[in-house]
Amino acid sequence: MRPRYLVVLFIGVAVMLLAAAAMGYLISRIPFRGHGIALFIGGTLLLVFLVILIVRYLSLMWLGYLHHIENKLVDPPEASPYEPLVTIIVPAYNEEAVIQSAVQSLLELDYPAYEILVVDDGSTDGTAARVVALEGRYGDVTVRLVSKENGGKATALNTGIALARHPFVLCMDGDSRLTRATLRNAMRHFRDPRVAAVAGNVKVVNRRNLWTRLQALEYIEGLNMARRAQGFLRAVNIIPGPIGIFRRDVLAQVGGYDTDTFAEDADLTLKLLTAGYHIVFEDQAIAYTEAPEHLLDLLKQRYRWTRGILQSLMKRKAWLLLPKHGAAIWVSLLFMLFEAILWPAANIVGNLVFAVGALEAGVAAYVLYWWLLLTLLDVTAAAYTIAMEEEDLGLVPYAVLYRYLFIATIDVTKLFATIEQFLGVRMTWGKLQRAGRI
Amino acid sequence: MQLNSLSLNTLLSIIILVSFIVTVVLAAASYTAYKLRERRRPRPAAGTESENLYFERYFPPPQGESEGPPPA
Repeated sequence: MRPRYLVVLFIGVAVMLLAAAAMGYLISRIPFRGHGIALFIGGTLLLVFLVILIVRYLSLMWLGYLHHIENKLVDPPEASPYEPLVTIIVPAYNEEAVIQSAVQSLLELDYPAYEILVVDDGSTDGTAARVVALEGRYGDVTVRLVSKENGGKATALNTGIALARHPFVLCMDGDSRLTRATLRNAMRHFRDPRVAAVAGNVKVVNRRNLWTRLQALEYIEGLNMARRAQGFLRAVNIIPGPIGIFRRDVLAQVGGYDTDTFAEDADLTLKLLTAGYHIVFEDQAIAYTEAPEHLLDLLKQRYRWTRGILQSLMKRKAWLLLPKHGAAIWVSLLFMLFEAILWPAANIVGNLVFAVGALEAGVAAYVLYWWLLLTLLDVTAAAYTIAMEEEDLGLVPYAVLYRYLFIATIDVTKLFATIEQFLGVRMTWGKLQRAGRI
Repeated sequence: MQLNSLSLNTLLSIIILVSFIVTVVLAAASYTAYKLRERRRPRPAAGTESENLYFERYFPPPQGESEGPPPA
């Protein structure tokens, strides 16, 4: 038993509750009532914002803790290994420079027998030739190449799923890297026949500048914190593109990846959830990925994610209204909608309303206290999640900049993307520029 | 002394507020820059565009090629 996580959780919860109480006190000290209906509504919204903020953090922390206990103590990876045959699908488009090292790193996985299937998506460089040089058997591991016309990642993965020889498939990005234990740690979850997929843990590898370090923190504090909580409910709502492991027959049953959204991974996840399957999260199934290093590339990525998520959700409007396969899936879908649309707006409007209210009421100094308390919340959440993942504690100080710089910047793009999605503004895919750090 | 402390808090508050507003404005400007960059991106020549191909839904063929048994 490792009680330290429980201690960290209790400290985190106590700090958050104290901060929330102080923030509530600040709101109560601003006389929103006496400054017109607009500020009164603003004050009410601010209280709602505060309640949602705290409930969101506390529920994610608590469910995340339960997931951690279940994963590490009740059902530890080493307790009873499960090692069925797996096909690893590597979609590759013009990856000549890195494809050989990618395949060679996959050959070193700590897993008894598997197949590496590289799907060359119509590359115009020497990608196929590089893989041909590696094709063959390596003990109980085989390397194969399939070439197809260029059609995008989703069609490449669908080709791989169709041609895979084994009952489980691991879908990844051509430029992501797995750790040796990734596959072994993920596969144990498939002992439960209800589990159709396992979402892995994506980590940023190129922590080279402010934006990529903030993204590294976001993957841990934002994305994984939510994914961990959803994992406890068996209802992860986005299996990340860099690493997802699936039952192949279930993928065939639901029709593989659709190509009518800009977030094929989110869309497939929702297809599986709404078909009644369980999706879990394994934090020790790690994939390293390269995050955008420049602001405009980051905005491009988030614009695509937001519109893709909205497209995926709009394909399943009826599911948002009624829980059809249980409350967990319903809550997971609502959470997705909330994070995509409502929360970005609440973050920006909430902070501005507080500042305007404080200035109007002649207590401008409250803006400082409000910011300090919000930052305390974010630093606490960052420290808690980083401790839980045994990650780099050097990321914690970046939590100071997290909400007012990073999240505010991302939220503005999310809001524009949402507006454009509902206006039906045309959008093309494009290819994200990577720096080739892996 | 109290007045100075209050002034410092007020000053910091204004810095925070202005920083936040500037961040939001710069974020909107960055978004505009991103959209402009996308608009100026060279388009593929007619006939070589892969978008239509991409948006065709792909259905994997039946399970004939599977070597492994279906999961329990």
